[in-house]
Amino acid sequence: MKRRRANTWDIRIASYLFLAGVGAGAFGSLALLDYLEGGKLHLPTSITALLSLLLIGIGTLLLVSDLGKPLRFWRVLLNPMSSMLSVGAWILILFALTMLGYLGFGGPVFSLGGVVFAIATAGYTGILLGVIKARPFWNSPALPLLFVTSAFSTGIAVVTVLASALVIYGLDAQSSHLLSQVDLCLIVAELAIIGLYLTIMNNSAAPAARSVEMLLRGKQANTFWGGLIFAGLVVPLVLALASSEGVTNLLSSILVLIGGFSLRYTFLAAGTRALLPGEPAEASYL
Amino acid sequence: MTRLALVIDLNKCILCHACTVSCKIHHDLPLGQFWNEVFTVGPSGEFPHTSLYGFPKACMQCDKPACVSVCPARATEKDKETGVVKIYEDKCVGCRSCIVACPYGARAFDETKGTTFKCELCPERREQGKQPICVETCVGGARVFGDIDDPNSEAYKIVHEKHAVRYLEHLGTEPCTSYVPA
Amino acid sequence: MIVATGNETQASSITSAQFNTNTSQTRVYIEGDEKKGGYIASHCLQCVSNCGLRAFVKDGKVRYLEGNPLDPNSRGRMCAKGQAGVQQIYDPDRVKNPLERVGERGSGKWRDISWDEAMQKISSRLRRLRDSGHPEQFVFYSGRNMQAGYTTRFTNAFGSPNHFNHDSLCASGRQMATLLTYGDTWPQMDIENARYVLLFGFSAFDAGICFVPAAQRLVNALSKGAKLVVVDPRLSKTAAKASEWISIAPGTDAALAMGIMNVIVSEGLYDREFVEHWTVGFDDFVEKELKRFTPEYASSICRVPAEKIGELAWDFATTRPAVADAMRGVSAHTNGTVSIRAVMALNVLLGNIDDIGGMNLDFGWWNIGLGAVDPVPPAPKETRRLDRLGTSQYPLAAVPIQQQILPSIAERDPYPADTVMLYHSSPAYAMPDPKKQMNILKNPDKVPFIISVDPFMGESTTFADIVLPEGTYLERYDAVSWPYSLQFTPYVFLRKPVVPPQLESRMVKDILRELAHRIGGGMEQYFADDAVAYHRKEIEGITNGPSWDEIVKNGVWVAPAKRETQRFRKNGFFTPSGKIELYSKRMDDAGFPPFPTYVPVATHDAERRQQYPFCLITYKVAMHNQSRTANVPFLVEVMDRNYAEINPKSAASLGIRDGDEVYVESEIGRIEGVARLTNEIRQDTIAISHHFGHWEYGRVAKGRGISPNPIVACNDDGIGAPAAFNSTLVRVYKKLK
Repeated sequence: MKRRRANTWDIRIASYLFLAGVGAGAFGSLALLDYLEGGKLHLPTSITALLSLLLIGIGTLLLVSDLGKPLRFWRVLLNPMSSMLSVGAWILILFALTMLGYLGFGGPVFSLGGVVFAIATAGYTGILLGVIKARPFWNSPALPLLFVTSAFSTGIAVVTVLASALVIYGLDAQSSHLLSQVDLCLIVAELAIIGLYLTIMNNSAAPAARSVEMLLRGKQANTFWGGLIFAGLVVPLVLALASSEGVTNLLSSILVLIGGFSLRYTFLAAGTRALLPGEPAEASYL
Repeated sequence: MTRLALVIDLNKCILCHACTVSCKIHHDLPLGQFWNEVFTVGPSGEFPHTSLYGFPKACMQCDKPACVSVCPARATEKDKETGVVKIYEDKCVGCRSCIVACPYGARAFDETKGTTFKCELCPERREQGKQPICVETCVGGARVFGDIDDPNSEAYKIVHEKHAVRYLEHLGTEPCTSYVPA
Repeated sequence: MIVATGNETQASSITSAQFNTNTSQTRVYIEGDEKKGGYIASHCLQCVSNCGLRAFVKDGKVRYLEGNPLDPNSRGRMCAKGQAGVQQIYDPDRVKNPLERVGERGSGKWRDISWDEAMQKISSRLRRLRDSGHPEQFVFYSGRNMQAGYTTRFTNAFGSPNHFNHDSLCASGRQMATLLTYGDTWPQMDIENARYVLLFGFSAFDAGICFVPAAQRLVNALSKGAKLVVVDPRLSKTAAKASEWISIAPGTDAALAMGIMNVIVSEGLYDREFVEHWTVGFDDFVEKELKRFTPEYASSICRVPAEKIGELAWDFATTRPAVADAMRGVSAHTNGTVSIRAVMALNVLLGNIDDIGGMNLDFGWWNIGLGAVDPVPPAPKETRRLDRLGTSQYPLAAVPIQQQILPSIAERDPYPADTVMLYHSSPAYAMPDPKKQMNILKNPDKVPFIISVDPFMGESTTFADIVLPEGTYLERYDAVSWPYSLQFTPYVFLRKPVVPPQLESRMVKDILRELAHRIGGGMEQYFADDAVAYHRKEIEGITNGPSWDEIVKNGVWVAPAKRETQRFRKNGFFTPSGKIELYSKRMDDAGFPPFPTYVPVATHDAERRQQYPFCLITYKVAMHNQSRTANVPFLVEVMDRNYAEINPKSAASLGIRDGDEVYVESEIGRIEGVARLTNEIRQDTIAISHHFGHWEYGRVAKGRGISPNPIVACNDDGIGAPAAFNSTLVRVYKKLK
């Protein structure tokens, strides 16, 4: 009779964190670029708003289905200020409403509102973890920053992937090139944040150092090195430096998405807590 | 104020696991779920200077419970009358945030019921004027239950006379359960 | 009322259902009631401690158990095993109905039969056996059944002297040693009041005849500042809590005890008055034995530094009250009885016998008798038994020698057996060298007919011809006058069913009673009463005892007697000389060492050590009992398997790492287990716990962990005959993939 770990947050929550990020990042990045470029580019913001809505929807469904009592999800909305989770639920709703507004009416209010809520959505997934003091690895303002960076990077990637597959998506070559350039910057930023993050955590509280150990050499090392660092960041970086054309771009974007998921998955799983005397380390894993 | 809690004397724990099993039987817990557990600390040191002792983990009934502030459904709270951290099963949505947030691993999710449970110091037994079952059955008498704010209670006396310590205080949880060090 | 006469036609009108004791009349609630749920008193029998319990029963189902605070010994506390008893009542792997073997013995092929058919078959066989003039060929092969009064009544009425219990697998070395020395079979330490406790091979925090009672009192003593020294090759849970752990070489405890006594005597630290007036043979003991056990000499044997021996002697002798005791760790060696006599002599030198904080006697002192249930069957005519007790091989043994039963049956020594009824005992699993036992059980030429009364399909039960499902200990009656109260005042308890026997199971008392009536021929007259009526007579027959209603409700009755100490000053000791026998004439006459001393373990010779460098010791834990809890899910959760435990240094020299699969091999075979590297054990010792390694018994138990028994050679000391579970030498090597 092997002792089981406490049933806590698993791959479903990691998927939700990922999907919320991609969804927010997709519209957020395009709308932001559209604004920054003064509308000169013909970025497919409307269809992306639809895409974001879809991704956020799937993520939310995952989140609700992960509840032990899914039919009681309304309790989360009825207690908006009770916790970070409830705040997040409302941010999701507001982001979704903004997307609907943009699809219905268009215009800069909904567009910029979308950008704001996109950042809020992606950032809150980091804060959700960050407020949990019991797990020091998450307790850093850099975590929301990292998640927002990854959200925009994966958001661009999902648009690139869909646009390559579907002509009707309507992403022209110029825009595509710009997106890949932006993504390149985001990847570099992400690598830098992760490097700094792990360095700081390695030198902070014991459980956080144990988390770093788990990522670098322990239980999560394969996903961390293979999925996040190598496949998700280094290879896309090299590919993007080599070329931003067609298949390379598509492959690079797919890898970025894998990396984005690996980031949520490994950072969630590595959030261990302090051990009581004699407590087996496995007991503290998620 | 009343704050019911356990004081556990590590010198008296003989690692018999009676607390764990009695709790599981009493509350009909599924396999893999524990409201209290006894960890074996050690063996440490090289033979023959080997040492080993038990650490019975329990809910700390914190004054500032980390589990309460993350609950999105207001399904758990520190009971004002007793100081026990309670879960309202009918309100719990089963999101398990509290399990993730508890620094002591004191909460457990019941998959069949879809909600989270924890030690509430046997309210059904307290109603009958009895002690929590883990306390009553503790073979070594290591577990003492009482109001740690009542200077006449045994628990209060042990906390103060034997200099009981609390764990992970730096997290600001202000745990009520305390331990007489081995 | 059925009056069977042994006449075939009348007997056939008997039905099993008529013999089921009505348990509803004793399901009296202490609190609450059947509808709302309430508490029914009974007693635990997960281990020998017999702690008082209260079962919470609601809608006819036991929900949980809690300690009964009225029990003066356990004082309302219960261990994990006791708490988990509920899971045994409702274990889905219980045998549901009587079974008859259809395939080969042990093939696991069964046919469901009715109780009537089963009892008809068994009774006609037993009637024929009894009528043929050889009732002695019926063997009641039992363990700690806690109702020996009733089961012996059956064998006596039947005419067989072959009623056996498990004592030789337990600590019969201690029983024999204390009987020879003090004239008492189970003296108990007044552990709560002692200020210095010296334990040899005795883990009061893991097991023992009074586990829960003694453990709580020892904790109390420790918190009052008592010093605890534990002598054990392995860091038991008790050793872990001790002021000092003496990690002695296995089997050499007596050398240490002798060394300590050498110092005590040479320094004049002993109680001269006591020794002079109340012992026999002290001067010769000192002259012929003790003198040569100087601390240096003792140290060369037990590997405890000589200075340490001197220090222990001074501490032990100058702290009062102090007490020394030894249990299975010392007893289960080929030098068990003599070694324990050495430990018991430590108490004699201190004169702490039957005193506050000392070693207290029970037998014949205050054990209050239960009332007799008339008529009482006469003792069987045949006195020769099938366990070699009283033969030249075991001239002194006072308790059954369980490891010899099947071998003497196989050799027809002194006569063959026809039917063996197994009850609370499992020779195929729980015995040293179980294969040898199993081969006999398997062979119908050696054992023509086997009946097993067992709630579970235990290993030995698989060899039965007929299986009769019994209720668990929570579904039956026992009335016991318990002599091992650590409060040292007499008490009586009544174990009773907290729910009726589940499924189609029955109580063994009902089974035996029905058999007596079916067999007839006069047997039935001794079994007129059902279990309730029988125990009622026992209880009501106690002089100034409790009323039946009182004990049914409370579960326990404490005699209004005050503790008495030093009772020997009035009556002397129950030894042939009336004094404590440091010199035992009985031992001398039988050719055994007449004085307490150290005798090397017979199997630990230098030649064997060359090939088998490790001593194998076996132990028990607090979360499991002997062989009966490996199928209890919640106990398996807190301890789910056992290991071959080895010191990291020894392991390193053998290239064994933690978690490696290893073979542990002795002269008689090898077992495969998982190595656990731990500093809890000496470098020359391997420890394997009991409780695991079942290949039957239920789905949870099966294939979990290892049992050391298959590599333990079946030896004993020939005196008290404790099976030497700790005397085997082994070698360990890595399993090659």
